[in-house]
Amino acid sequence: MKRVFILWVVIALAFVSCEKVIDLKVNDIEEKVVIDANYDAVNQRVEVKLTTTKDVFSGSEFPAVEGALIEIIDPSGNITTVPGIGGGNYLLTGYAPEYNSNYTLRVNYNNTLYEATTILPSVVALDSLTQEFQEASIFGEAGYVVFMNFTDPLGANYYRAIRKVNGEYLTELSQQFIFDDTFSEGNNQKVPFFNSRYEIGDSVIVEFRSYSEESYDYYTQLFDLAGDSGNNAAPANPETNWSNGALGHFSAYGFDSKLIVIQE
Amino acid sequence: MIKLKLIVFCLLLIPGVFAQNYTISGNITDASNGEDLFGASVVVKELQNTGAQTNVYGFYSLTLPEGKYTLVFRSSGYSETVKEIELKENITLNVELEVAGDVQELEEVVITSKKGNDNITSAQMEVTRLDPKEIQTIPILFGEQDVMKTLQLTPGVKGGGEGSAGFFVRGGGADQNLILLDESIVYNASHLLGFFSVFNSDALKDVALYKSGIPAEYGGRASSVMDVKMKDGNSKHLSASGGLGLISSRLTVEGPIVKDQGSFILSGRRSYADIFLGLSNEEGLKDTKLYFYDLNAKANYKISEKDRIFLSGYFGRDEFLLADQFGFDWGNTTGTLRWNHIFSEKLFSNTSLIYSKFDYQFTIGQGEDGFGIRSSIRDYNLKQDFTYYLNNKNTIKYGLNAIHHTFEPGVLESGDNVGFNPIELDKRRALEVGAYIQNEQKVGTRWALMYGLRYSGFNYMGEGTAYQFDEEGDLIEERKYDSWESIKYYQGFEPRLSASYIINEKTSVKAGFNRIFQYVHQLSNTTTSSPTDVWVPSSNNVKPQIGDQVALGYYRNFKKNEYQLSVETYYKWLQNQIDYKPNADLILNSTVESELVYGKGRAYGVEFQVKKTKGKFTGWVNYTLSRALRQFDDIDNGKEFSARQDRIHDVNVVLTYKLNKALVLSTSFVYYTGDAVTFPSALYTVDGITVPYIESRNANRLPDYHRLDLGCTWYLKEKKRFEHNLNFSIYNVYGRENAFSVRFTDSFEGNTTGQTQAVQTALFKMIPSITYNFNFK
Repeated sequence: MKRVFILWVVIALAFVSCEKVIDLKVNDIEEKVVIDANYDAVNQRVEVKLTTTKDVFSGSEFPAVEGALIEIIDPSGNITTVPGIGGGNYLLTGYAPEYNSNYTLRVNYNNTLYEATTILPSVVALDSLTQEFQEASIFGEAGYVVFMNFTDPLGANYYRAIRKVNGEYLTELSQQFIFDDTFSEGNNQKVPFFNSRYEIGDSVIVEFRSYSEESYDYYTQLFDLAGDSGNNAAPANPETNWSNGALGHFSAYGFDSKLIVIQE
Repeated sequence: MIKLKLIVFCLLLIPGVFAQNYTISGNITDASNGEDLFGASVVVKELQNTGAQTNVYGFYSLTLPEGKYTLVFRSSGYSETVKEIELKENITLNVELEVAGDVQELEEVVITSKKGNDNITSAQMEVTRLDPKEIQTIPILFGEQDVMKTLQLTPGVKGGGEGSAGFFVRGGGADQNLILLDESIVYNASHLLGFFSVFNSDALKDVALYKSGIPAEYGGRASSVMDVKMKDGNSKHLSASGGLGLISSRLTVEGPIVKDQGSFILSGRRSYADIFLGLSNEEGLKDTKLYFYDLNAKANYKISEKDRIFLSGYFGRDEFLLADQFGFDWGNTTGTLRWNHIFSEKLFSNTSLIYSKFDYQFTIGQGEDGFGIRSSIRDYNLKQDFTYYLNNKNTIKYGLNAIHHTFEPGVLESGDNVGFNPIELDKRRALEVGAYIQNEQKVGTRWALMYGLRYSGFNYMGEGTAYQFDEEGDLIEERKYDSWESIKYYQGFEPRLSASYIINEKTSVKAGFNRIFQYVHQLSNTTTSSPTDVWVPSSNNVKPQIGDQVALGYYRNFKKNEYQLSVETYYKWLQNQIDYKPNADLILNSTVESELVYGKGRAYGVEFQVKKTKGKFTGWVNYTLSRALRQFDDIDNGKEFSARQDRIHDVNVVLTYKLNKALVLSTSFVYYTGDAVTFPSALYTVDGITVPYIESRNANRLPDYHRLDLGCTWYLKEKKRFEHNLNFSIYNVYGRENAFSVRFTDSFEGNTTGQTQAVQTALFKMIPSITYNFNFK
């Protein structure tokens, strides 16, 4: 909801404001470990990216962390190692899911143990993708808007939609789409990607993920913080599920996926 | 309460000469238009240090022993009137003061103490007072005269940011200012993102800002009182005034209902930014509406010599509409019905019935494909105030007040195709009561005292559901309450004290203390003010804010009051301050209180000011050294941090030079330490997105702010009943790009290195403007 309000501020400011790069001092800190871990239950992959923080004005890449011992523990207590594949990446494939159950990930690095537990929620089906033509407006040029159609099951549900347009994943912050069912509990839903307009012939694949509440909270907080243009009076770090002060998050999710090719 | 009164009365029994005393009372008005003169004075020539001042309705009362006296009536900007009287019975003496001619007019000042050395002799600590017709010449953004922006140029008052009408007083929060328009609370005083205030200067008579030693008649906000009075309207003859500006146009019509018996005023203003949008080449902007309007209306009528009725109202709204896709509008409505009654020459009464409402709504899409959200706050307020002029040493004020608040936190309505369930959050209700008694007393020739006590209470009540949260913000209890059933009651006593020791007629020292309870709170977690910054009552979870302040001041006038020096220092304690959990959602959230954290604050500082009040050259220079700090157990492990408005150094210069009859030049300069803000301390990556890491709250600073504005008012040739002028101004003359906000990005235009840069947004880089004003007298 908050985004809607920010929108009108942005529109109004666009008329008068000017931007430039300035020199500023920030307070640097010591490096912290960042664990970006995901269990994609549909593709049966456990992927972990291990890095550290870097100084704000440093031009270097995010430093990769090699040589950590990473293990995943399934709901029955079985421990499986997630092997390193270089560049700070760790990957385990063919790891079969058990929905509505807890998974724990352990990262042992530099004699420190970081641990996070998350639930793998069951997947909500994406019934179909539909298209509608929209005239030009402040929200975008004339073009086709894609709608996701699904039925929100009873109980709290949390969704994240990832798009692959003409073969390319949309990864930018402004293209992230995460939402819950606060206003739509238990309804048939028709949710648009309102800011994106497509042309005839475009192919759009939507990966419709079902997240846990904790993962939803983490990512909404993360996107808000990363997307803030200095207007948040109280910026704060997203609440992580990692122990021992590591940044990042461990999420487990499944998804349903559909393809639409825009037609006249 | 009765006991209290007795104590106060006992205090007042000062042994004196038991000669027969009589009272002179009446009204002091402007001879040209019949407007009541507030703060005009009556001085007894034969007696030292004896006199009276008019209240806001122009009423005065002066009790003297039998005898012959020479009374001098005066008010700044008016010629003195002298009356000889023989006092052997109570008499009514109404006086009309003529506006001073051109020569004295030069002596008018923009910010005025109504009497030459009133700043020295009154018990009240410095009150910042603006005469709206006199701020015209000060250069201002878009040439749109605005009392709230002029107040920001005075010591201890800090603006909410570039171009903003919001303000902070002595380290207090933005919601800690009681903003009154004809006694009615204005909940959201800004238009258009806060760039303009809701106060149309044409309709205003007087603006006063109390920041310390706040009188007991005011309560409800922890830091300050901004008391705005509308004009009553010309009771002599019909007149009109208005203006054309870049942002808006204004028109005011006023005149008698029955000559000298009653008058009315109607004043309107509308902005036309959307007309420019219509010229835009961008397709999407053509159907955009973006405007605001204000309508002030007031009428008063003298039913008898002892009774007078006033009816005033304000209606203002902002409209923001993007074709049929997005709509957002908000506004205030206030209404005040007042009855002045003079019970006797010593007892003045005012009864007010007040209505106040603020609401916003926005819609996205239309019909079955759209949805809308709205929210509001509505007050009914009954106020009874008495002023008892006991004798020429003591003036006692007492009164009662009850406000019924209804908060409508949020309603969502949705078309069938959207798939949202309708939501209607429970309305929340509260009854806020107050009772006060205060005496303004002169002791000997050296001391002036003002002491009072206010009782305030707040009953948060049904009907509705109350949620109880534990310290973690988890829901532990939920209970339904019936209509008028009390959920939580808060109360407290608020002592108020101001004392002035007059060293000589040019020099005085004053001290003040006040405690104020604040029972309603505005929630806002963005740095810009937004109409969606919702007001919430104190409740079972949210405790009332408490503001305590001590202040000490030294005042010295030079060269026959031409120069006024003041130094004030203060220390303020704030309890039960509110902040937010990360990512707190404040809109349409039935458990919004679970998103809040509580802490305390303190603020201290010293303010220096030199004012020149007479001559061709007038103006002021002030410097403030101050801190504003907050501490929350849940933020930064309980470490104290700077509030955003913690601007350590703050300088304002305002100068006006009257070149000749036709030309007035003016300038203002502002400098302050950059706002305390939170910058990232490191960066990391999650999901391919670069994320800032936050170490501690407001530990960084925006670059320092400074700006110079120039103005010039050209009075065009006058005709018999017609005056007009052109006002030119340039905002930010040297084009300083002051940071409005800073973001950190590696994708700013022209950046190929991938290195993160700090990119500042500046809003207004040199804005020239022109305004035409006219007045049919």
